[in-house]
Amino acid sequence: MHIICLVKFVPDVSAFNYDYNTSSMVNTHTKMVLNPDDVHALSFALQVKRKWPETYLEVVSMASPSVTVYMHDLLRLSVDKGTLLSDPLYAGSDTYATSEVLGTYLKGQHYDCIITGSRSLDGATSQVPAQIAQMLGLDHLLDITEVDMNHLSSNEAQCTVETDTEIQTWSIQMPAVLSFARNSRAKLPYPTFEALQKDVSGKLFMISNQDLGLKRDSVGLEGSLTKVVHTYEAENMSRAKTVVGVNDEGIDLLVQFLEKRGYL
Amino acid sequence: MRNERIMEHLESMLEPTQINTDAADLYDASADRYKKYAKARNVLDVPPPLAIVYPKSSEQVSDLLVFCNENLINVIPRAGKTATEGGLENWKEQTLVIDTKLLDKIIKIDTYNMQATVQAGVPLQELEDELRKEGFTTGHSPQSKPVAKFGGLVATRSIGQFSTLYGAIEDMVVGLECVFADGHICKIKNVPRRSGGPDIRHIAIGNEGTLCYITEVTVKIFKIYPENNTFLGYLIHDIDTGIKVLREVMVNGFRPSVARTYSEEDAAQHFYHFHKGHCVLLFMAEGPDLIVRATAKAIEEAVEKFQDGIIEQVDSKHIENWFNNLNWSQQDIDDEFEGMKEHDCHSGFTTEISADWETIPKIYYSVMKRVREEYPRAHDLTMLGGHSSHSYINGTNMYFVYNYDIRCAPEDEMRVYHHPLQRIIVEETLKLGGSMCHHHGIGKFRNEWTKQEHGSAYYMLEKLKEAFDPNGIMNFGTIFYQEAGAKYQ
Amino acid sequence: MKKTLVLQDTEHPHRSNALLEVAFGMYGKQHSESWLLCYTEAHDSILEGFDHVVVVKDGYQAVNDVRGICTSILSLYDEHCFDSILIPGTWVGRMVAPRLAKQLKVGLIAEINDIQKKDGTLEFIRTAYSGNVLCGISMQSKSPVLLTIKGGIFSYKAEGAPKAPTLEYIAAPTPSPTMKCLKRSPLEQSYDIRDSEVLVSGGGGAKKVVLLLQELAKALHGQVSASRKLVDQGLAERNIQVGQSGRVVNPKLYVAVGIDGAIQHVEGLRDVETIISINTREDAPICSISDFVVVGDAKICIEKLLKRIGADT
Repeated sequence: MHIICLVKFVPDVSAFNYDYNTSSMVNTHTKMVLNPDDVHALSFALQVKRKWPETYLEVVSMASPSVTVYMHDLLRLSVDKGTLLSDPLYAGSDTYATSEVLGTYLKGQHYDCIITGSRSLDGATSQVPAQIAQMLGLDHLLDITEVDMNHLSSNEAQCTVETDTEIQTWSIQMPAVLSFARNSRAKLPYPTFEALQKDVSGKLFMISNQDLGLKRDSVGLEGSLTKVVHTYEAENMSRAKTVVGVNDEGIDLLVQFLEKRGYL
Repeated sequence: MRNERIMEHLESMLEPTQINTDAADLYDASADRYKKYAKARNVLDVPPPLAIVYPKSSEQVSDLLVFCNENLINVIPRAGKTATEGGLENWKEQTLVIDTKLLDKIIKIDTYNMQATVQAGVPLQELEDELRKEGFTTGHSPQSKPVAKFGGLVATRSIGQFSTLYGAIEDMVVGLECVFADGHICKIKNVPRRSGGPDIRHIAIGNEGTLCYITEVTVKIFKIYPENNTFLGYLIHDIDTGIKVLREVMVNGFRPSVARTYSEEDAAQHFYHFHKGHCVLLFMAEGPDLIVRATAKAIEEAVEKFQDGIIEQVDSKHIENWFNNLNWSQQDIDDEFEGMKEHDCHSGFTTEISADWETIPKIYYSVMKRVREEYPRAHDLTMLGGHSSHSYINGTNMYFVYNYDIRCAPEDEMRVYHHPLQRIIVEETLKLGGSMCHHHGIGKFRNEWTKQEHGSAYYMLEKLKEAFDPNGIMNFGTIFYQEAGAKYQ
Repeated sequence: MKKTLVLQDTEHPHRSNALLEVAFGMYGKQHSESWLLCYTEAHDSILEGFDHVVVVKDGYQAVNDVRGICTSILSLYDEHCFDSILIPGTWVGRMVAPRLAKQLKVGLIAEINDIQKKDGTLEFIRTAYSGNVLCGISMQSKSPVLLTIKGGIFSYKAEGAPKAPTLEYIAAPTPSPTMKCLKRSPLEQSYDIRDSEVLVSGGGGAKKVVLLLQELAKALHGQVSASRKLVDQGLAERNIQVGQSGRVVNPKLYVAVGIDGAIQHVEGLRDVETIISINTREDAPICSISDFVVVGDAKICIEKLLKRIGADT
């Protein structure tokens, strides 16, 4: 089986510090983490490889070269190839432009299965996997919690998904795009001590727009069909906190707050 | 001697309740908090001891040591189990852990002569609680206070949070009793000071169990005035400002009980709710009213002098609350242990050093630079910082702290993460003339640098070891480098 | 007249007309004409507010056929040239909308929770960085405006006498044989706090209200968790302990009752959208990272809150 796993490295939000003046993250140390959904996706792919060692596993990411050190760490696990789609032209891409880049690369590749996460920690729009599926003419399943290893081949996969209200089991023909939901119990395996000392840079391939040949106006800021115009501090939804007492007015405000955010 | 014969002999010397061969306890006794993660994951690489024994008296300690000395059995003196540098780790197949559990009496509290005498197995918190009832304190408050015991506190030359006022353990010890490998029980009497030859207390204080077994300690006690406790805190631009203010206060002749400055990331651990991403400077002054007021004024003046580096003052209430929650409890230790079983992380490691005022910031910055530039797993670091917490007229300490996501097998954690970081810190410190171990002791994991640490004076340390432990049975591997122990490092 | 197509929310059918609020927000009620593409449960309360309803025959079978839904939407678009297409933020919706965007070659703004008009342009508001930040996003592409709407935020307010919509029936496209649903069952509650979207968490200051925590959790459709202090006191099991050394959780809503906020506890919270603190001390560290703080006694607060929530439902 030939698996391509798409991953994204996102800023570590638990150490968040947002500067509203510059509309950007202030990182005390610029630490990136592998998007939690992608951890589940990749750990599944590695499980498949453990079970069927002849599986070929490629990890692909569209990012700046600053993620090279993180890609190297993934290559120290049993990932066969790493591909970084990187070009200054791609900076500022929204999901539409991002899926153009990823989809264009994937069009030229051979695969039985494309594995992704369902949403990213920073954007959380869940758009890219479905758009890639559309571009490649493939079926797609979102929020997969489990794949039945006894019903997995280059022809078919049986997957369990969790919607807001139901658990559903699907049979989906390969090739297809399988998007995994976040699972806090999913973990990547440890690299061995020997693997940590190895130079894996030979397994990482950099692809620029010269290789993909996309038009300027279809990528980056120019190619983005949506734009973040600014970040908000709306009165009743700002991260700056509201403080109330336990009087009736306070409780009323709390209930309104919960309703506005959709918890009631 | 065969293990069975050793056990027989122990059984003839001690009662059955004084001998512990429970497998779980022996596994626990093979290492200390240094290898906490590997221990939680059951992948320790060191042998367990043969038994843990609990002598009831100094005479029993003496008999045990004589027996071990004659039969070349390794001895690990153990009290509160809070060691962090491998001092309690076992590197020999035939080892006895001699535990102070039954040496647990508070012998005397003398509030007229301001002295308290305890056996080595008395927890510091226990003595402290007794003293507090009458309005006194030991003045000694390491973070391990609720769990640590006097034998270990003296053997490691420990220091507490209020040392800037009360001093460290060596300033507090009056007299003590210790036992040597050949069975000699030596009692050093309690006098306020003397000049009767070199100060032989210092053979015991800080020996880390390599020269003798401490059985009893007398410490000074101090009057407390909790109603006068005053807290001051500030957000500052950088750690240099913090160190300059600390120096100003000390050099001008004042002794706050607490004087600390934290780098940004270290501050985030403790003060995330008010540090706003900045470095923190904090003080506590305690004692008689006039002294506290004068000290507080001196602190404010020092802050004023360096106001360019000061961002704002912090509500004192925050500092006070923080202090009240600082110490470990046994529950904290147990909780961390449970957590390490499940998760690939722990609550971090430290390497703490000392140097004079001028050198400390140099060491700090060169360490930070080297770690960020050289250390191959720098991207796994979740926290890297430092704080100064013990100041003297002529310098201060720097407590480097670091934590990381553990992305390797538990048995590899040390050599992938802590050791390379510790190496950078020790190398920079020794290069610039500081000390690589301010108060945690050398233990086993800095023993490769002991000679460098002491330079030509190492001769004096070496000779003490030859004289008092010619057979090398006292805590093999601690302080003094041993080739045979290298495989565990 | 601005034309809007709404895809029915088949997971929560009663919420379908809530999406009309978005259309009204964009164009004003007077200038909106709306269509509902309906798959299930086409009765009056669901359809109220829509001008036109297109019912898919045997819709229940086609409810999860993502490619089929796209085909139906596209053919309706060809017929009516909608100015906007609104998709609910459901599992199906999140698979349909991005594919539509590619086929229509338009941008998609996902999971919006508000609309603002700024200097004549429409800004669609959504959260980012796990709810830490609110972004205003503008559409740069041509018509139609394509949006997915976060569930449970908007609600339809009926005004005046309901108007009967026009009804039309269409056939569902034949589903592709490449995807087949083998089994469906309702989602059961997991008892692992790591799976919960809402956690009501008790700390040392909640030892007197442990039973109330359960009631509040139930009212918010969540679970109870605890800080170490409550576990140490034997009032909670260790398997619901939130913290670096306990369970690391990522609920959408975390209600911290009587929790001080030691760093070891707070490190167990990852990417939480909303943190609410109920605490007697406003300067407790956890309040500094909370979105909403109630200062006062936990018992009074929870009892009043439960009463208020109960009164509403």
